[in-house]
Order: sequence, then structure tokens, then C-alpha cells
Amino acid sequence: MEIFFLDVGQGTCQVIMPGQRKAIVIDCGLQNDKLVLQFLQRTGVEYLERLIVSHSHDDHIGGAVSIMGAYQGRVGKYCFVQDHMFLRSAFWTRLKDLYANKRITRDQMVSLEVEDKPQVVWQDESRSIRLQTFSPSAVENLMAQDGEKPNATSAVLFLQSGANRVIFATDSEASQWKEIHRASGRKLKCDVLAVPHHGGRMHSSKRDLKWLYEDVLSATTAVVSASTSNTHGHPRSDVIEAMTASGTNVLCTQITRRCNGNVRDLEHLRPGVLRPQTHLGRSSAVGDLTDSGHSRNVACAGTVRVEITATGVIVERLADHQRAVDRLPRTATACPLCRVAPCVK
Amino acid sequence: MPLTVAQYSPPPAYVAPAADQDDHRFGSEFATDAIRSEMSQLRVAEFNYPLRRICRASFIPVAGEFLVEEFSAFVGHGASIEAAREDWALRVHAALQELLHKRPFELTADEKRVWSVLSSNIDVAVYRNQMPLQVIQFGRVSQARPYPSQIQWDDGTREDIQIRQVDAADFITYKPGQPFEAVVARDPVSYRLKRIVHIQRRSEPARLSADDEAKLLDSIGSSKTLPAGDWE
Repeated sequence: MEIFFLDVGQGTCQVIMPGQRKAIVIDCGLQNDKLVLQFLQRTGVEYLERLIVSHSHDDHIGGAVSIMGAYQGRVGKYCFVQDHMFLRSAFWTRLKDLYANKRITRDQMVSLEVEDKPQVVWQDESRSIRLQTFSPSAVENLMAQDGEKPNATSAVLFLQSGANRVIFATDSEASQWKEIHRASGRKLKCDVLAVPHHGGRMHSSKRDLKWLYEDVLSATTAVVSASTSNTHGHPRSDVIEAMTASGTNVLCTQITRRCNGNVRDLEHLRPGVLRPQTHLGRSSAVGDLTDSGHSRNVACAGTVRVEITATGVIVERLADHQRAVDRLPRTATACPLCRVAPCVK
Repeated sequence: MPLTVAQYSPPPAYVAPAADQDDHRFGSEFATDAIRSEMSQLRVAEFNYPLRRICRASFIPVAGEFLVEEFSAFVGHGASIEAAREDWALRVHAALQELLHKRPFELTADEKRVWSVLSSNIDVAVYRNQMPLQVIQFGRVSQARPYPSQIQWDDGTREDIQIRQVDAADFITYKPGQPFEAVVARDPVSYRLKRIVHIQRRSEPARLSADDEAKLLDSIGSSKTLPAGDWE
């Protein structure tokens, strides 16, 4: 089985490929973005077992409509969270149109909500693979709707394949992890973690962050999906520090101003820190500049491919990428957050 | 009726000789000898497989076999050189198309060997970047002055269209607002529209009333209807 953490820019998309030209899509990237659709087609995907949108923010739900059109009649179930923006989303408009025109049935629509136990969203019993949803609970969903906070009701998904684990944290918040920790009663270990909220704020204090990455979650490798030109300050240095302090390998899809403050300097790194890029991603091989002349969408790890084999989990080119990052010149404005190496201050 | 992308059916094959050679260079003084030539590209109908290097091909008339040294796993059979060559090309085409859409972890040991032969001689990355993607899309004509010149897709994006890009004579009669369903060929790298290879009108899609929408929302199953998992 393969899992792709797609470089969609400042958004999120993960694609699980269990084989036989099938896929499970978790989030769909940016508004009107056809990158995910292009990726699915180039990799020969014919059927989507699940199309999951974790919440209704544009950077997660945006690319869904074009996928729904292209894969009409070829989607097992549509899974979503009913946050306060859901009924206004193009995703819901399209879904109810499909239903009105008898292209899908009610049973193909699933609102993600857990009670006491996780729910199995998809499974392949013959290969001991299952994808579960851990969050949101019905109460969290209601509270987030009232507070109009879609992130606080983001779906948290947990993939198990034999002894291997991958957690897709989407834009979940610390409050959800408190509930998950309370219900599970133990620390969740995983081989790969899709870092919550693009490595941005999801906690209210440093203590929360320390608690999350010391007592609640333990990941061998973590993937942050963030774009070079994001204006949200993603990923936060305290988030990356909390993960690296617990021994986690961190990969970002794109290099950001947190690692290189002078974003005009990044063109020489195209198409990515590690060349050549091997998978389709938002970071293009040609100059992609903002109106003010700043680079955007410059790959760091680019699209990250993870393979789960009978013997374990392989993060493609992880060591090569780390070596490439270590070779980057350290200057007053450039210092990769993910590597413990001296920087010029 | 929903559109489907047409399934591939084997078309005639064409193996081009090296640039400076023509087919007549296949020749031999003795009928029992192998007839040798060089091959610079492999084309099967609209599928063009760029070869990484010029390959050496042989036809053995007695056995009716067409062989290419670099593609050791494939033998074409036929009474004539043309028939054997076509059979060989179709075998390569079929194998490549089958393996191209399998993920690496799905390949058996035998398939890995075949893939290794194919990918070491055919530049698969170039092939992928050349072959248009075919995608089913829904949209409507958003501009027609006097002929359709712009399309609005169902995700809200708009795209200019020229009549010559559409393989359907009656597209010219589509009026603004006409909903349709199309099979669109797109550039695999830029994702730009290359052609609309099939298009058909749709009736105006039905819409749910507010009451029906409320009923639907009430009746959508939550994940409580899914099997219970555990925290293990």
C-alpha cells in the first residue's frame, strides 16, 4: 500500500492507494485546484473507495468538486463533517445535486461523528487494513458549529495496516486530542503523522504542545503541508521543535519563510531542495512568483510518498532529503527548522 | 446516460525504422537468415513510446519470429515480417499498458522483470508527459457569440474553447447556458484543455427543494452506522 502526502501548496491532501487502481482521498487541496484530480488520473486511479473531507475550509474541501465530477459513479462513499460552513460549501451543493439527479444514494453519504469508540470508515479485512475516524465526537461537532470553528471539529483519521500506523490529523485542535487521549487512555504511536493544521497554531500554550508530542502522540516521521508564500506563519517553530525534540523526522512539502526568511532567494532551489522531484506537486519547475516578486511553491520535500510493506514503513528518499537539507547554506536568514544544526544568528 | 471513457481496443501497430533507414533495408540474400534492422521509435495507433536508444530488431523467416535484442522478454509471431513486427509491437503495448497502471507494490516478481525491461528501453516519464489525460467533466456554455467560445465547468472555473477543439459537429449549435457532459483530453503536465473528444447535452439538472434538503440532512447516516472500531 502507498500513501501520498500531496504537495498542494497551502492546503491538505493525502491519497491512500491500496492497489487495484483504487484510492481513498483525504481532503482535496485548494479551491478550484485540479492538482489532486490530475494526480489521481496520472496514477491511473479508476475508483475512489472514499472521498473524505475533514472540514469545510477551502484549503481542504476546495478541489473536491472537480473530483466529484470526474469520478461520478465511481465513488464508494462521500464522508464529511457537518461544520457550520458545510451547508454553504460547493461540496454540499454538488452532493445534493448528485442525489437529486439519482447519481448517488443516501447511503453513500456519511457524516463523520464518533461516540464512545472510533468508527471504521473503510477496511480491507483480507489484508488487515482499516481506516478509522477518531474525532470529532457529536458534542465537539455541536460546540464547533456553535462557535463557528471548523478546525475544532476536523476529522482525525487513523490508518492501520498490520502493525503499522499512520495518523491524518487534518486541522484538528488540542481540545480534540484531549478527548482522544481521554477515550483511548494511552499514547498513540504512529509511523507517519500528517501534522495538524499545517504545523500552525492548534494549541493554546507551549505546555499543550509539549503534552501533545510527549504524552499523546508519538510519530517516527511527520509531514507538514504548507506553502512557501503562506502568510499564516506555518509551520510554527515551536511545533517543529516539539516534534524534533521527541525524535520525530519532520518533512515539509514546501520550504517556507520560517526556514528561509528571504523568500526572494529561493529560485535557485527549484524544483526542490532534493532534485529531481519525482511526484506531481504544486511546486513547479519554473519561476512561480507573487505579485511582489516573492517565490511561492518551492518544494522542500515536495509530494511525500510512503510505502507500507510487510516488513515496515518506508518514507521515500527520507535520508536523501535530510542530507540535502543539511547541505543548504546556513545564513542569518536561512536555517532549516527540521534539522538540528548550528545556524548563523 | 453517463459517459464512459472508451476502452482501448488493439489498433494497428507501427514500428518505425531508425531515422536514416527505410523498411526496404530489411532484406537478406538467404531466406533462412535473420533479417536485421534498427528501430528508433515504437508507435501503436496514437500511442507513441519514445525509445531510450536505437534498438536492434531481427526477423527469422523460418521461425516467423520478430525479436528485439533489448526487449528480450517479447517475441512477435507472424508469417511475414510486417505481421510478426505488428504482433511484437502489440505485445509490448499490451504489457506496458497493463503494468503502467499498476502501483510498484502490486507487481509480482515476473511483472517486475518485464517492467524492468520495458522501462529501461522506453522512456516512460516522457510517454506519461506526452499522453493526454482523459477526464469526464460537467459544465455549461457560458459564452456563445455567435458560437460557443467559453465553458464554465461545474467547479466554477471557466475556460475558453474553440470550435475546432471539439470533436462534435453539433457543438456549434449549443446556446449559452446549455448544460453538457464531456470527455475532455487534457495536457498531462499543464492540465490545459487540448480537445473535447466527446460531448453530449444534458437536461437541466434537478435541484432539491429546501424541504427535501432538510429531509436529506436529517436522514444522512452518521458514521455511527459504520462498524465500530477500537483504540488499539
